[in-house]
Amino acid sequence: MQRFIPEKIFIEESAADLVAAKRVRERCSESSVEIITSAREFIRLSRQKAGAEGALQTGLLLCRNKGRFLEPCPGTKKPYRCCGYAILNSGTGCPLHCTYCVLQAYLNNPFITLYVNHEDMLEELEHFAHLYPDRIMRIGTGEYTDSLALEHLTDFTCSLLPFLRQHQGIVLELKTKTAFIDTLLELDHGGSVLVSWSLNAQEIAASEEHGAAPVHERLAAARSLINKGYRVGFHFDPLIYYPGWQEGYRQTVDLLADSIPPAAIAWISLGSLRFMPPLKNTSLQRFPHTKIYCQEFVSGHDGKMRYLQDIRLEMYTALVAWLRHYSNDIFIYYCMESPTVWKKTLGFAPSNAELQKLLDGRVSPRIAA
Amino acid sequence: METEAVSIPLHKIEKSDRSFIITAGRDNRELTRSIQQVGLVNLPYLVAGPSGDCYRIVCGCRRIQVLTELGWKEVTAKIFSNAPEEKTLFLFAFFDNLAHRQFNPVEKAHSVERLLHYFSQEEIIRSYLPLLGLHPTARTLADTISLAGLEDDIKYAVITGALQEKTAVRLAGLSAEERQSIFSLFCMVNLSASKQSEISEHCLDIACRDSLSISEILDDRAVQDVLQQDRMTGSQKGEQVRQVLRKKRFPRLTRREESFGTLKKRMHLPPNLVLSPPAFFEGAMYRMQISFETVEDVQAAADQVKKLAENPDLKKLLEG
Ligand code: SF4
Repeated sequence: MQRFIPEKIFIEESAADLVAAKRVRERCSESSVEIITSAREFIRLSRQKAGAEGALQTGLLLCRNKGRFLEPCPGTKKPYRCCGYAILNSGTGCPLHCTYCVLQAYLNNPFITLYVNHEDMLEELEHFAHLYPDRIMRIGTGEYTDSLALEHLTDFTCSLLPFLRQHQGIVLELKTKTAFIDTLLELDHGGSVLVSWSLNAQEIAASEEHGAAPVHERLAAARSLINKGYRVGFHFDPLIYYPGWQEGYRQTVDLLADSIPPAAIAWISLGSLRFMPPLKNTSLQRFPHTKIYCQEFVSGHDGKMRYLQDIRLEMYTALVAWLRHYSNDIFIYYCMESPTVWKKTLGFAPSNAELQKLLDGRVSPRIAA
Repeated sequence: METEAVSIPLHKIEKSDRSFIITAGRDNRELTRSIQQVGLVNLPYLVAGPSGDCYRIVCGCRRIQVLTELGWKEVTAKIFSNAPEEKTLFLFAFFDNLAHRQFNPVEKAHSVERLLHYFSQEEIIRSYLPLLGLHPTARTLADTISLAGLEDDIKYAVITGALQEKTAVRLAGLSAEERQSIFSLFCMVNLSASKQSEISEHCLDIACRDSLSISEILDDRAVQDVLQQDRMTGSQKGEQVRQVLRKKRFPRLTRREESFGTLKKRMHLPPNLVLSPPAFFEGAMYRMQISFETVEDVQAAADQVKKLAENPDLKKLLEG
């Protein structure tokens, strides 16, 4: 899998002299550079020109985040349960282009964008840590982008480490579908960083996760990090229902079992494909040959389309059984699932607060694998 | 731009040249009445063709058409003096039309298609889509252009409202053969715009899931059986076809609905007790609604509910 190098970098004037912006420029010495006055205006004009929907931009936008860096994960409405994760907003957009990526439908910005005012971000994090000194917090950068897809340009994790070392209650979860771990291998992380991989059936990874690493490479990368003392996580999310799904997911669980010792796994989450209704058309325009939207989806209590509950239960029951067969001790949870699903497949249904506590307990106190 | 009023024989006007024509699907009856009563009020605009012997219509194609139908031999028209560029003439026609009326979706599509000959997409999105009352986005531009490429019968259905614009855009992405299959179905049954859209979506999803063509889906025995019913109205056929396709699209959901229906029937609930499943069987919360007028009604309903709690079918139902 190739690392993303932009053809062109657009830099907001007021961000051009920031350390992170200079670093990205240095590492993309072949890319042309254009200084722009206002990122906001630039995005507006570019949208008009190409349309945010469906535009596969090869440009990278570097600008300041003028809003907050830290925000609670939007989660979803009741009764679906959420894990109380906090998003560290390092940028938006992703070069991997998964068919089902939610970013296609709700971002108004066609550019892969990095917020380079890391000084402001650290200040905000310090302020937060000062306000809640005893709080355990799982923060992650994988909500609006893939956490490691641009790491080779930014050294983002490395620049966060001094902060993380000072605050024992905070753990950074990097969620990825890449195998780009080289920048993490030599870090003195002290258990403050947890790397998790989204896993799928291999044929789904190949057909729907276009720029991502094959499943076996993701697992090999996880294995390398475990050897360097990292704890890891896995997200079977989104599970896709297709003819042959049992065989496909079974094989991935087997690969996982063959390469990862259960003790190194902080958690495994399960979630099935879900999307807001407009995503289907946007995605079909970009990926007209995909078949993932033609199964039985119904509207959930939060307005998102989900597989009929019977289908989800069938898939989850199978996955839980395979995972339990691999190890009984693995902590399995659901992302955005209903209490009914929790109870029927795992035998209990925690409240949001209970789930948050359970997950916090998996990372605190910090233990390296 | 200078013009001169000149009398031109109608047979010298190239009526098939549509280079500057935007108009589509307009009813000429009022215009005909008006010309019959008071003659031609506004003169059409023409430009001399390359040979100089015939004329192309810039504005007034409907007027020329009506005059021809009424048997006129000549028309007084304004002729552009020193042959302006095509782009200038098109813009003249475009703004003249825009000043006089609201464009229908097909006229908007024709305008945009023509504007693309002269301007970049960016310029059209920024400057012309808002003039047409459209969102200035690349998606809107693409959707609008797609309408221009549709067959005339489908365009006409869009203009008359018989086919929803959104559905037409969706159909535009299909092959002509597939498109005609769905469109012919719509011509055979009566369906509201939203149901047309729903049926199109079902057909596309089934085609994608089962690797079938739209014609194969609609040629299916169950669909054809409905279409061949003599005693059904168009609306009844439409509803039945919708049900058949919904069942194909959502086999597990419809099976679940049917088994709920069967169990409910077996429970013999009185009409004032209404039992409903969770929407789309999502979650586990069933509802029971009691309607009553008197205390006795409530007591009777409570007895029924108690009995129901012991009914093994209720357990079956809750276990799914
Ligand atoms: S890796 Fe995540 S953020 Fe990137 S395209 Fe795929 S789903 Fe979207």
